[in-house]
Amino acid sequence: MICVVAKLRSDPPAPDLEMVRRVFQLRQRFWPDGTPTRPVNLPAASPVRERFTEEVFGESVEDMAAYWNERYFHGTRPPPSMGSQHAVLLYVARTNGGVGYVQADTAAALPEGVKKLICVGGETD
Amino acid sequence: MLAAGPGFVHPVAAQLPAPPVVGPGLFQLGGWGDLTVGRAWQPDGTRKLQATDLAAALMAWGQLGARASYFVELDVAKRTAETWTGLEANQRFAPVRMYLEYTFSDLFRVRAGRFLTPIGQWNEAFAAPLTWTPTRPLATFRPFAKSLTGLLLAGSGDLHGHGAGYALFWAPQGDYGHDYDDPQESSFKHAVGGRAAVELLPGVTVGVSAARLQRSRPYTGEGPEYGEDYGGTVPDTLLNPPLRNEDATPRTLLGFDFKWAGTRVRVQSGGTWLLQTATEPYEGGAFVVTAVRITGPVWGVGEVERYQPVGGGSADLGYLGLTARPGSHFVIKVGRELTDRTSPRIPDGWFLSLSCIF
Repeated sequence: MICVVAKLRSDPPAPDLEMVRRVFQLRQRFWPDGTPTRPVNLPAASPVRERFTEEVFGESVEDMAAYWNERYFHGTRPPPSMGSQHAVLLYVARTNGGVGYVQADTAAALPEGVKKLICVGGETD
Repeated sequence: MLAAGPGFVHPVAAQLPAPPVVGPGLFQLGGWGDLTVGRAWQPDGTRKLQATDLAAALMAWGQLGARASYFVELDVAKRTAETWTGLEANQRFAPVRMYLEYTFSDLFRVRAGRFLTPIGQWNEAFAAPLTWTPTRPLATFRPFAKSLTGLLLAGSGDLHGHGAGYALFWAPQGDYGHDYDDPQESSFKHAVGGRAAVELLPGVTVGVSAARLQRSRPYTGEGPEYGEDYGGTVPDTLLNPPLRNEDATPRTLLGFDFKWAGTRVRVQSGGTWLLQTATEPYEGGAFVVTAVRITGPVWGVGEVERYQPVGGGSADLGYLGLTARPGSHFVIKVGRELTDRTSPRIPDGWFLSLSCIF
């Protein structure tokens, strides 16, 4: 299972997979409280990212390239990548509006101020 | 917390109007290029294998804080009448986009400057590496200008569980001037309009466009590409200059677009019509492009289109070809355009296109 975690100024919004899609596609740029969304990825070769992409978007990381190619022509690049799940947690903990995804066991102990938004998929391998 | 199941959205379907700049940092640089080869019409009525499209675009963009951004795209191209911009031996340098944008929220963004006209979905994804065919359907550019200069209000959000977006524009002046205009398009002035689109089903986007406008300048030019006979070939009435003159009469432009992005099949369709007035007949048409994944990055592509030019008989066009997208940076297209008209301004014959993103 993979959990989406975020640092927000207000209570986290109701679990909404569609919102997670929009945030990670950079189509939703603000949380409901007005804070800019600042999503981060794991590296393209990361099994956790592959699984997150398939669970959330129903596509492989490679197939997502078509979407990012279109958005590139409008000045949008994919969210930056962090080197590890711990780096994701560190970034999110230090960034208002930061949002990332980690495996459920990594999300079991979250830094202060970081909250789970939603978990997707079944048990991890 | 909720444990959710797998998603079924196809992200390539998310083509909502006027996407915002979300680029990290103050300054980003990128671009694209295209080389298309085909049998181009010559002024003496013969045809010759040559580059029908040799184009490059430089893009620069950046974010000025969390809410402000800018985008600039400068295109330089040499094109013949067979390609979608359609000027014989044309060589030009044009600012396609040059705007500042401020985002109040996801629902409200204001863009000021020169921007891509949000009519249909294709015009905002016009770059060669994004399209399925080496030439562009006529309905995606002939009845309206590729770019406008003015103000644009846009936004996107959730509409009863469906992704949705809109763009409204106001362009008081026409384009910059003749040097930047594309004479195969209709330049606007006093234009007001927009597009709205919604993802009806996962992977399925539909949109509608509408505008009120006036033509901004006479349709003039020099050389055989402006209505003269190509040495004995069938005279082309597709673009009849006297009928596309500057006209103060307000005109109405209507359009629709459809996109279905499946894993193995992609369909794009659209139609655009400039309605009739007391002084000008109507102009417009509709098309369907279907792409079927054959294997890996290779897709079979077919297109049909019917287009009613201003003052002329309708043209039926077709295309069959292959498009390969090996990796994120290169696109190869090869195919044959078929038409029932022999015209220097309607693409016909084999085309090979190589395009790249950098």
